[in-house]
Amino acid sequence: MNLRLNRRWRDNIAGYSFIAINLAWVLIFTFYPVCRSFILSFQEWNPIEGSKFIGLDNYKEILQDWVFGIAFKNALYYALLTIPAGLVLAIVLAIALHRIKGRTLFRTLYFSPSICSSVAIAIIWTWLYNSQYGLINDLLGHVGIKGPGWLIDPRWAMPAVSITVVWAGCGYWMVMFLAGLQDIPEVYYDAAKVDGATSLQVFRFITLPMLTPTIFFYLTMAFITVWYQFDLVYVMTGGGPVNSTIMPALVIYEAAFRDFRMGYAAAVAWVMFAITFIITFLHFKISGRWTFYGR
Amino acid sequence: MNGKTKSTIIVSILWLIVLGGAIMVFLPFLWMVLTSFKPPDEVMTIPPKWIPSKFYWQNYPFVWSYKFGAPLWWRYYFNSVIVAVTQVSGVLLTSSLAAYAFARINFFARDTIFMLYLATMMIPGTVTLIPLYLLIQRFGWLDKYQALIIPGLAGAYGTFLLRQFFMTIPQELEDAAYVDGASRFYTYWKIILPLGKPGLTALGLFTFMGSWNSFLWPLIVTTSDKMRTLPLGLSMLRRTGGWVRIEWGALMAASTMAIIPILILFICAQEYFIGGISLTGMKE
Repeated sequence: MNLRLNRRWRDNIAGYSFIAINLAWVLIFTFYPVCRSFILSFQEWNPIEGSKFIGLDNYKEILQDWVFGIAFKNALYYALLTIPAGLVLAIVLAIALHRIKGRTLFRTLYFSPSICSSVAIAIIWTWLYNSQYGLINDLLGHVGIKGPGWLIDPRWAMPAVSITVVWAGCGYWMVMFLAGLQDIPEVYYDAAKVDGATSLQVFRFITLPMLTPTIFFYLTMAFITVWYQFDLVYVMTGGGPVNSTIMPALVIYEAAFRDFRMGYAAAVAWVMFAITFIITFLHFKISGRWTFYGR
Repeated sequence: MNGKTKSTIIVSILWLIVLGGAIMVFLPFLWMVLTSFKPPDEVMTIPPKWIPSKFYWQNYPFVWSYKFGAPLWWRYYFNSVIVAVTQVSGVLLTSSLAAYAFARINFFARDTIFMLYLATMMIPGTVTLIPLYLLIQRFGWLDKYQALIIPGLAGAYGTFLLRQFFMTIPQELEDAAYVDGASRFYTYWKIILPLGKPGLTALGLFTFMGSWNSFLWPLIVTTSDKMRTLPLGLSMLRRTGGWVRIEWGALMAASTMAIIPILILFICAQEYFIGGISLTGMKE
């Protein structure tokens, strides 16, 4: 008994000394800010007088904030443009790459944009999109299309940003789907061949179901990253022209660090989090109906 | 149509897709490098000129000339390296220590604390951004290295990742060491760390990448030019600078210089990068 007690204390001391630094950091730089941010969202923050409670006023203001309304709609539009396109491209490339030789070289190439700084990517694409001297409009000109103004045209700015995001992120997801494809046992395909299944049937009834866990993971992650997009829009368009690419993260940034309305910005951040949380939660709930984990 | 021709056609279509994709991925990089070697009067032409008439390398030194607006270009590099290296070391050390405890030691309230870690990982950075800024301000760290480095020295994510990895290491090896009278720290240092190398490498690379490419945090905590990191310095060249005409040649040279180090790192360590992806949550 004495020995066991001794052992438990030794474990406690060892355990807490091992986690001490890490735990301190998590508490100070993540846990405390989360709590503080929640309180801040009910306060009006003032650099001189400090903060004072104003109840739900910040949240009420969000409902009437037309810029946030636009940002919200923009984020949905952006998600709609980016997520399906990225998914289809990543799967098509993964399937094609899975079936040919010389995979490694192409995999390296496809993956390379995912490791680059988003600022550098934004600058390269701003140059490609240049309406007069850019490469894209020149290439479009060769096939007889007069290219739009892209980033300076309110109708085309958002699609332009979406194309850049798909370009930047596609390789990462291609690698994910490639890993998923490599996990599918060869016997499934052999069995289908014996039964005389067509390629389309093989895709529909073997490949696609086996990829559903990866697709589920993609949808979850893509939704979150798309929703909090900041770097690319900040550098490429700054939210313009005429707010056509303003995004929720940009609204938070401007409220907090341009207008110094910390309380309001914190409230916007929590609203954003609540929305993503609910959608992710629902997504997890219904995922059981269409994802396939069995072997 | 017999089976052989059919499969040839399919393989050709697949090659077409793969090559088409490769061109789409490669073209922007190629265009960046080509533009960076163009003399100023060939950068903006209609139609665009593909191959510069001469190899104009002067765009590169022009980036850190006073005329262009980035005299501290090498300082941005230095800052990025310092921040990335210290953060990678900090994260690897603190996360592996904590992960070892979470994976192996049965201490009081371990599972509760681990749940807390998981919960904080779900909270997006935008929520903590503002209080974190106010905290750094109160510490008097704004526009200092402390602000850039210290908050990123340890975190829940790395601990979670390594804990998952350490769980897959067989316990027997440690048991044998304990029989020989080894301490906890000894088994951590001599058994877990060497065996956990793939996990540590992946975490190190991801941390390096996150730190090297980080933009929003340096943007809000630094104000003076000498404290800027590479992505921030790059973005400033694009957005301000006081010149009416954007010097695309020099801007592309700057982008090339910003991308090259991480690209080399990636090519050298790509197996770890790609292997690491499957560690980051996809498979339990």
